[in-house]
Amino acid sequence: MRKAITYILLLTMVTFVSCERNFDIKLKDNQPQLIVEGYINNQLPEYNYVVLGRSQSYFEPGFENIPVTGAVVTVTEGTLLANNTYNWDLASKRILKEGRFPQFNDQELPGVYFDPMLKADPTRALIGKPGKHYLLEIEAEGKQYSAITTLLPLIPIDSVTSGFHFLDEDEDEDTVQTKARLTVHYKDPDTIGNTQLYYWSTIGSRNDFGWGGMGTNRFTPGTDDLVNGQYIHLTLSNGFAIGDSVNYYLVSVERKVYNFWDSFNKARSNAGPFATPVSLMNTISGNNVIGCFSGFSMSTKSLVVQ
Amino acid sequence: MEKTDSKITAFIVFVLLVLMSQNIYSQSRTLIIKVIDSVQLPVSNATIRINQKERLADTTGIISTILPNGRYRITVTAVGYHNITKFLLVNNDTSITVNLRSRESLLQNVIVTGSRNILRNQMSVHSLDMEQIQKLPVVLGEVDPLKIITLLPGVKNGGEASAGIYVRGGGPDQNLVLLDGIPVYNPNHLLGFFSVFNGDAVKNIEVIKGGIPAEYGGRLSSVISVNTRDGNRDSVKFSGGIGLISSRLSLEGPLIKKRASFVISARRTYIDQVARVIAPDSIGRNGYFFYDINAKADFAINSKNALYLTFYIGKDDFTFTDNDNDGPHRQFNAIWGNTIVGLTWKQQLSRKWRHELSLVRNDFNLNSQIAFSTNGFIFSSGLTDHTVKDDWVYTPATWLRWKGGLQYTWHKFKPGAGSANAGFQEFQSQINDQYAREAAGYVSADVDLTTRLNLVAGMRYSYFNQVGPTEHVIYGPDGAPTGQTTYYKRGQSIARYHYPEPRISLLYKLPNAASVKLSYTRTIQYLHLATTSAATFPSDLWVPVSRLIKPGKAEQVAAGFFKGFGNGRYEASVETYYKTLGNQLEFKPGAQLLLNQNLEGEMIFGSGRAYGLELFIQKKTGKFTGWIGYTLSRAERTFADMNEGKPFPYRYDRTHDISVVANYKLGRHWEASAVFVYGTGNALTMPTGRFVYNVGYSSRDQQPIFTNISQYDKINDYRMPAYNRLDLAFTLTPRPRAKRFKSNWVFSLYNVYNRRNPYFIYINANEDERTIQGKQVFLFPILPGITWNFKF
Repeated sequence: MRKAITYILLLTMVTFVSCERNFDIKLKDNQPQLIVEGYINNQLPEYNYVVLGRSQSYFEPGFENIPVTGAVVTVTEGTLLANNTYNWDLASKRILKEGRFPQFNDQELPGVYFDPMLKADPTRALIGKPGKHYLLEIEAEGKQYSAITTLLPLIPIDSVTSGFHFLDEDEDEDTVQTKARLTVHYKDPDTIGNTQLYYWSTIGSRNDFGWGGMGTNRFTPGTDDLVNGQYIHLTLSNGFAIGDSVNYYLVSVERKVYNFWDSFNKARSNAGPFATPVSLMNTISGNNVIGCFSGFSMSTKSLVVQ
Repeated sequence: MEKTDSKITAFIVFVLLVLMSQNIYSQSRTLIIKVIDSVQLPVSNATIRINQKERLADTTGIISTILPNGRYRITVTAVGYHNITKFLLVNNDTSITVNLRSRESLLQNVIVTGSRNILRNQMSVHSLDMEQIQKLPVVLGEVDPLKIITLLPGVKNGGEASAGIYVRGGGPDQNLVLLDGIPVYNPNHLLGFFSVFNGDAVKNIEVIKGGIPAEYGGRLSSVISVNTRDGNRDSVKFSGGIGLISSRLSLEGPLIKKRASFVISARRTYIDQVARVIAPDSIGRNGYFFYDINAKADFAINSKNALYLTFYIGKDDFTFTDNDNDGPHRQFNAIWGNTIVGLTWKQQLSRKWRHELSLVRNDFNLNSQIAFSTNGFIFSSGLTDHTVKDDWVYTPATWLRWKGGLQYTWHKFKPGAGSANAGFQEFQSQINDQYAREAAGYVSADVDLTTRLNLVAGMRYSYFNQVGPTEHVIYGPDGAPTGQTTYYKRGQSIARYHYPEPRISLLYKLPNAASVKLSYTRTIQYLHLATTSAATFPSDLWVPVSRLIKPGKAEQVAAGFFKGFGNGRYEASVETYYKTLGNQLEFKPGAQLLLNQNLEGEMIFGSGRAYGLELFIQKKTGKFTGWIGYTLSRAERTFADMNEGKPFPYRYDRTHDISVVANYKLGRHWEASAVFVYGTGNALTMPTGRFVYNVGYSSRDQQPIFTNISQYDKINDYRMPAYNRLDLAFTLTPRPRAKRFKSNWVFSLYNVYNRRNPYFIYINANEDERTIQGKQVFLFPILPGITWNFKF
């Protein structure tokens, strides 16, 4: 919110008088870090995966992930005991592997680790269960890393409706299209401290790979600090084409996972006089590592946009 | 209390006891001299020489002194006035009024007060009169006293168009900004382009960087005192000015002839209208303006009692409409401002006693709303203070003056109330209001220990108590509410702090117009400004200390050498200081400040230190006047949770800082002035590396999907390029056509050699074009300005 307003002010100010030029900025060298992006959810087995990458110096060319391959990656299910220790069910341990999968057109995805069962029998592939805890263990280039996450109890979606139509002008294509916005209706639980993320997929994105390919709204806060226990009707500002078929996911996450994604959204657009350097709220244990093991407890509704 | 504190306290008590035990002259007479100008207004800070001994009148033009019976030669001098010498036989308690005739031609020059700096036992101080400030070049012709003081050594700004003032390594919220003695919480209009002080209403400005006297408290690093002028007591006068982006109008005159007067100054900007003409496409329906009104009335009840009423109201109004990708009709509107009312009763109770009682109400309020087509957001915040202040001055002997007083403030903080609607969902929220009592008492003694050695020893004792009614939500370490709350009843104490604040200054006068000064100050601050950015923004919140937020503490020692030469035409000083800061507040990166009940959870605390050397030389009289200031300094902060707990440079750490101010009288009608500034660049945190996150693969585009994220290492390890700039101004004062009507033209040229000083720098990593390029944004190229001022 604050950021939005400061950008508006900045924009206006810059319009008044300022000028911009290229400028040679000399930066110090970085300390390379392992980047971990891991997910466990209760609905979409092909969306349970771990991506390993490496950070690089700022002015190195290239933007894609620098994959860390050949790592040993495992996920183990467990429960939290009354004395606040975990009981890991070693029989549930799955070893995740890199490979080609028919779900993603058999493309090569180096540095992305899946449950190999996804190819053999997707119905028996790794899947999260609400209420359970999950241990991620990684051995990469001789070093050990680990993280724990949990799947919270589900928050059911009552319905998703479309409305708030507007004309969307695409200046590049020179087209005008009527679009609608989606409103999700659900009851926030009476316990304070619940946090949600909102994702969706459309016909156009259904064959994409990964959570990075899912639609989401990064400006929408998902804590109930101010609306605890209320009945929520939340409208996102994103537009949806009329007639599109949308799968809408209401994702409950534990606070540390929410904090990570909140810091991620703050870090992703951050420049200008009001910028503060944002570091991600890491949840992975180990040296020189940044990332998050995200337990997503998902409820789904499908609809055709009207 | 730490051990050193109690030692210092004991020392001061000892010194005070020794002083009190001394006998006071019994055969002495009190002489009160009042210095006024031709329109009956007091002449502040006049120098009065009684036989060979020089003394200084206060800001109300009064000096009270005790002398043995005898015949005296009294000479009164003041900047901008002809000297007057009188002979006086004192064999009774005597009160005289001295009328000074103004030397208009001398007023034109830039002078920082007279030899006061050498004689006065107050170090680290600079005063500027408005006449001097008005001649200096300023951006777009907008005269601003708060901008000019950053040309003095040890007083820094945050960069171009930055609101903050940073005194000797302190933060922007550590300055006690006073308007006629009333604290101003937000001294800036939008983003710090302009301060709230309208040049037409201001008489003078004084900044105290160290050796802060015991009567001031509540802020750690400085006192910036702005005094407004009194109205003309003889006849009604108009004055004003027309500039490129704003205009001003003042009206003043007598309420009761010779006894009561008023002055009202108003100002409004039309920057939005100007911009709309220059760039109609980019401005569109957006608008911004501010106005402010300063008013003052004074009433001399009789020769011993006077009442002063100060009033200020200012409002900023900002509207922004945009048809962006968030959907049409995104609109933002914010209105914010201060309202200040203060009433002061000044009394000369007897020849030895003076008394001042002030009642103040101080308001700061913000209301903003933002509307998207599907959701809207209304936010308001503010604070209200009620203060009563009682100050006494007792002068039992020529060599001794006591000061004492009490202050009490009732604070009400409104950290934010908001309501939002998204679609047909309504969110109502109210961050609990907070209440606090702040009180302080002080005593100080100004003693001539010998003819050369003067001591000002003071002790301030401050107290802060946050009280109910309020409800505290208890948060867990991960920032999530635990579901538990604590309720505090009305008046129930939530957090209480109190500290002694010793203040000591020593002055040793050397022969040949020179002196050495030493000072030690300890200051405590009970309010923190919650802000994450360099530019002040109307959502900035003042938050009181609480159970978790501890008061800021500062200790400073300073030493200086002061010397006048060239028959008083030149004055030079060298000062050095060392300052420690405790309980300094920072916000976690990306902290959410608006509507955050758990603001404390976003804060981290650390310490700081600052040290430096300040050189100052000025020429005070003649055709050519001006000064050169140079500061060599270091300011750093240490936070356990930042930079691995190692000290890092403060963002506004400035190794070298130079300012040169010059004013030259070209002839009867023309005058030229120039300002040159040079400063080491601000310290910034820049990324060292980057990585991608949130990866995916688009089967339609056959392209990977990802987001680039920056990796950071050390804090404030990168330096912006050095800042430097030269400005010029020419003032034309035409021969007046009518006797009553006077006017002048100020032509200014800002950034003469068109230096591209970066306002900010950033790195643009363009994933589509696969380029990574550093960029700098700079605000003001060479800019002309023109202002027409008039008076009749």
